[in-house]
Amino acid sequence: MTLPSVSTFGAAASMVGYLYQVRIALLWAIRRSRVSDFTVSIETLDDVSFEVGGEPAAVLQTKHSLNTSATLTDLCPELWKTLRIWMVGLASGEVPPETARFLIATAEAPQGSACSALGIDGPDRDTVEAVNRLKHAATTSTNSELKSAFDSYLALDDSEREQLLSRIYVISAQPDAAAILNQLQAELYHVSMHHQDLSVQMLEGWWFKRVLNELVHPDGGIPRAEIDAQISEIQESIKPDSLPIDEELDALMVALDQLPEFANRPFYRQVVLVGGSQLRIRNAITSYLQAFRQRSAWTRNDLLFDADLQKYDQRLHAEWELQYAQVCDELGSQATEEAMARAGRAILKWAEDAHLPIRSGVNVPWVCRGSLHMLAEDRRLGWHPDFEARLKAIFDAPPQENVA
Amino acid sequence: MTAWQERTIEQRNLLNPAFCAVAVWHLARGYRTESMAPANEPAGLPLELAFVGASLVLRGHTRDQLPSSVSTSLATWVHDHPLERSAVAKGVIVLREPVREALLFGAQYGMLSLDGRRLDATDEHSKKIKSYLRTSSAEVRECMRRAEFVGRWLCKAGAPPTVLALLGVQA
Repeated sequence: MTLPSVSTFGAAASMVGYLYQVRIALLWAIRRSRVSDFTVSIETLDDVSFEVGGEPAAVLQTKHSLNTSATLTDLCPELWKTLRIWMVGLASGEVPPETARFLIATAEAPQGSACSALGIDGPDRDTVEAVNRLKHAATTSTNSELKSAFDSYLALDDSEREQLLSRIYVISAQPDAAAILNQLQAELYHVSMHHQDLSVQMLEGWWFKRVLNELVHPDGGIPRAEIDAQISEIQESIKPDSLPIDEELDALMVALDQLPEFANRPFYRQVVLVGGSQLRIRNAITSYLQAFRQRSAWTRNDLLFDADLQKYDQRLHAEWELQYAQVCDELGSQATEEAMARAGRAILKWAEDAHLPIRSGVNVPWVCRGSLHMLAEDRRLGWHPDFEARLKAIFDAPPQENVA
Repeated sequence: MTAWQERTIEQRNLLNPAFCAVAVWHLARGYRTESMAPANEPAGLPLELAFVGASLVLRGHTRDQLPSSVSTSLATWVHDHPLERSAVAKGVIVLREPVREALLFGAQYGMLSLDGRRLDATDEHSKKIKSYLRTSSAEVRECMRRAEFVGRWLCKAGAPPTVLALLGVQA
């Protein structure tokens, strides 16, 4: 007598089967969401069903084989158990005849089998051939476990069998539960360019929880809109938090003898207006060039950041306005030249020390500093309390006419 | 449309209407060249492909990965560059405004002509554009060289709906 072993109670196969079914449901839902509206349910009529307007449009049965050499022969239990479910659904009217029925299996359909004749497309699809092969199998087999399936199949007449099989599609040799992850990633390419793994993990995490909730508290299935909303939320939350920084730019340093080249630029004049030293001017030029070139490279190489730069500039401008208003208030309206310059240097110091990263992962300080100098170059902000009028006098003065 | 002064320096410098118009001009020229190859029936660049073409050309990362020959099918390229596919689709959205402006600009200055839903590059400015390119940076020249290529490539790729579907661009 052999003693029963604990492995008899192993639940690995059915566990994998369930997980597979839930994953397939997600994959198919994402694919279908591109073309039509639906509500997806799991384990109501079938393993997975997609409903449109309350009517099932497609039902899926998933069959995951742990045994890699399993095949979908004419007598395999996977096929007949599935057929039995579909015949019951058809007889009870729960699944209308026109609903598409998919059998998704990891096993292969051998050449010439009924399953290969029920493939999704191609010249091999031949419903009549499948009807006959299955009739032959049902009449000759002695498998008692499948007897009820055989009986209900034989109870149909030929035209009923053909009608049923004409809406059945067998999708064989599919990637297994683990490999299906790659397909999910491929479907989510458009969602996350930079965080492929993370986006799939986040979506699946939500999906498993959502499906479980639906199984415990059934509420008419999961609508497509909910899946779409979840995907766009993930897309928003995993925007990359850093941007590539050019190392050459990071090391850039302007030489002191280059300063005169910039002497007529507004951002240069703005530092002069508050009495900034040569060293300070040089630092301003360096950060200006670094930020200018880096931002230009981001825009040229990856157009996608364009809108972000605009928002960033607005944020910097708002922060500057806060500083500027504080300093000007303290200064009052009767301030001396000297006091104004000193106040201006305080705002410039704020700009030099400011650390408002464009993305949380961008740690070089010159992107912020330099962007502020770029705004100063544009005369949208400045350091001297009276910068607008003074720059106007320098740059917008009408050309002096030669008075003889 | 964002007022000129409120645009970032990058928008003003790199995506300005004149530059983008020259890029579209090259796209349209490439398209016409290729359309004459089989039947000698010149065809203008379908309007929607001006946006798709700009997205393929103006984004540096994508431009660097374009194939070297027009005989590479768009479908194969998309399959081999899944990341570029999504970037191109997003680029079409980012570039919607600049390309629209470029079309207006180009039409106003007689560089581009619009016939129904197709754009054609007029020849009267070829000289000026050539001399502009002689003094431009290598990157600008590369953009225009690739624009002409992309024009031909998109022409070969088939009807606009096919191209949009392949690249996942919503019309």
